[in-house]
Amino acid sequence: MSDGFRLGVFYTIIRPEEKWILGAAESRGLAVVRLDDAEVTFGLDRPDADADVVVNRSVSHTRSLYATRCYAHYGIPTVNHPEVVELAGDKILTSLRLAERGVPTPKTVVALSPEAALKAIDRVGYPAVLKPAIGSWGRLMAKVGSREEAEQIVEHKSALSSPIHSVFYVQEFVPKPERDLRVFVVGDRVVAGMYRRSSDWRTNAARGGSTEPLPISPELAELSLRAASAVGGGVLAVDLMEAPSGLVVHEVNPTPEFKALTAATGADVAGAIVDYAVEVGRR
Amino acid sequence: MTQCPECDAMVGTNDKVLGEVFPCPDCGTELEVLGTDPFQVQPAPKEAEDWGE
Repeated sequence: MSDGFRLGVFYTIIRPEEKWILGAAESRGLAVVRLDDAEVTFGLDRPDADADVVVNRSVSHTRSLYATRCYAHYGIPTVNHPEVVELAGDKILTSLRLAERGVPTPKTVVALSPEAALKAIDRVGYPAVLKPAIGSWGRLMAKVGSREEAEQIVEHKSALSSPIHSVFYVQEFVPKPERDLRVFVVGDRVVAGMYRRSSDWRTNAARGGSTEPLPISPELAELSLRAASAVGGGVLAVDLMEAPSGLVVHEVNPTPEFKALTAATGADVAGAIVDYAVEVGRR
Repeated sequence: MTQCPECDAMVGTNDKVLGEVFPCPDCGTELEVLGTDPFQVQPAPKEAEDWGE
């Protein structure tokens, strides 16, 4: 597979996931170009480091957005594609796209001012969940149980300086079992899946929930692939919940972590990502 | 080996790569590998608002 093919890895920090991707690339004989998102610069005519494909592993949505656009400008394909980064990195855009494609997703209302936020929460009903449109790991999420709590949380969010906190993404609270489902999609296949369990209503593995392997039924595979395809496809972690009405997709993550998934399932996720990136780079 | 910039504990092993983030075994501060030869570390970048998956 080598033949001088250069695989760029654009990163913020080297976690086990990035280390495994670098290792998988090296074991395939690929030339690895390390692209530290705090160091690289982007001219209008050429990149400061060349590559045949760039795997985006930056944890910053903003840096990911601009970097993948710049690499596209140079004609260097990225995993994921810039439009996928833009869409899947923003929960509002993701929800719109999932709804457009008929993928079942929790009831969601967006508001652009504190006043409208209270209306949005009333419209979703109590309890509701407030999430930042950008960012993850369960950070700054709030479960809102009453109108009084809604007023307090909206007031607190309004006091935060970043304009992103004046955008309110309100979702129904889904009364799920104490777990959710994560399905890891690479290209047109499901690589692995896991349950994330927690007595906390936030089941993110980053928040310390436990994990176990998730058997992938044909229905689950079909829904996960449909959700991934809806945002443009690539390397994506589809998060689902078991709602009373059936499975619903609540997030599609464009730069997914897979340490917990690898530990739970033993799947070679890093190898699958590298093989897919090479395929994209050779198209 | 080098000293943790927060607690002065000796940190570092041979399996760390450039840019890798790991917790100081003594104080738990997240450290980033700045160089492997000689081994150097600095506190890892702090989580920003737009960080996530």
